[in-house]
Amino acid sequence: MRTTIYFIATLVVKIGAIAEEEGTGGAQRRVRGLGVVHHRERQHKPNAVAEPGDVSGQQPTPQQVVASTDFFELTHSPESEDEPPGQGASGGGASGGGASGGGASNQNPGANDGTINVLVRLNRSTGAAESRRAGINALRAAAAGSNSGKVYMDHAYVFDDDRTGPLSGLMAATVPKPARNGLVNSGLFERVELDHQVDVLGWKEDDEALAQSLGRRRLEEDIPWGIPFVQADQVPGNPANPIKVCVADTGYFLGHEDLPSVVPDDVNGSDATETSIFGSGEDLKWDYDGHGKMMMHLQTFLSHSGQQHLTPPSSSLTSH
Amino acid sequence: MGAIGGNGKGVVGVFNATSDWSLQVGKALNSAGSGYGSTVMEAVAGCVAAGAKVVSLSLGSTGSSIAEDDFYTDLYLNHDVLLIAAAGK
Repeated sequence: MRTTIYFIATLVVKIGAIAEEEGTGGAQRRVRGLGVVHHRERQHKPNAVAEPGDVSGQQPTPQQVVASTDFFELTHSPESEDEPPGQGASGGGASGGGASGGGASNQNPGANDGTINVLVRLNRSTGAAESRRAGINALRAAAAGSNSGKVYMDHAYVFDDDRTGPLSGLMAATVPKPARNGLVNSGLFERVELDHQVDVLGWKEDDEALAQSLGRRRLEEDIPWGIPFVQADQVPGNPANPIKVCVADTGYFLGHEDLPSVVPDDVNGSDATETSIFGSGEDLKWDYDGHGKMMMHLQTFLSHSGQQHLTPPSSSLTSH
Repeated sequence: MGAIGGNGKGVVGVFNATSDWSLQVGKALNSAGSGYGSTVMEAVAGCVAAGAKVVSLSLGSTGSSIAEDDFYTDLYLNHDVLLIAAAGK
């Protein structure tokens, strides 16, 4: 029996207490300082791009800007909504709604539609407005060279005082493969790189061969990866002579379905961080870190399918 | 990470009392578990914009880019953001 782990693709962040300490003002400053929000603000005043003499003494040339009214808006093809990774490629966070990216229609670089996903960074040098504008146009023109082409991440800025946040100047687009070299050789970008695919860790039951070929970790009940990793599967079990295993780690999850729980017959221990004694106290019953439990799993290897045991089930466990 | 303790369900997380923390979720990958370096960066930026100081990334890729390196380095050095990335367990 295999335990199938299917991770929801999320990033989880602890912010509560910290946000309270900083107060609202701090949060607002931080919000303003990020390209995500900057991008959304620009959507509210798209004509700002085309206003001559706007800032920085630069002389904007609006005619070079393709479709200035949607200049900072994302190109999004409805037909790709249901295709991975487009459906989940939205920007995260409560304030990141303006940064939702449509993703690309091709799952992998080199997809059979002849496109490739590129991640570019505009020239951030002071006074390089013309270079940035040309770079933006070049990327948009390249994306327009394919039916499935699109700019799906856009944190472009033109004028020097527009630059805010770590995302500033970054754009990503699906372009025809042959267009990549042109972008690289144009000299208009700091970087032209592959926007490579990122996957959750874990593996799906129906995708075992692919998952293993990609080197993702395996999460199984019968043979955890750590068993062959430490060559434990090469050690013969000997139920006639139970041995005592001591785990000096972060604790033990007493009552875990995969670990012995009869105290003191099967499990005993002491807590070096507290005065309580395992079995009579409370602290060692819970492994808040989890690492200790993991180590205990590796050593007990309690399989439900008759797999070879490193230590017999009847062995005593002592946690320190 | 945030699994509730003492409720008889599942595991207990590092932060197990809901009274003193909240979660900021940034969806970077789709329901099929895939995304791109760009989508992850946007999700992280969204979290940071919301005030996040710690970002947990249980994901991986066979590729990398200098633009990402610059992005995450900037968050760490200039925005006081601690990034926790999976290294296998």
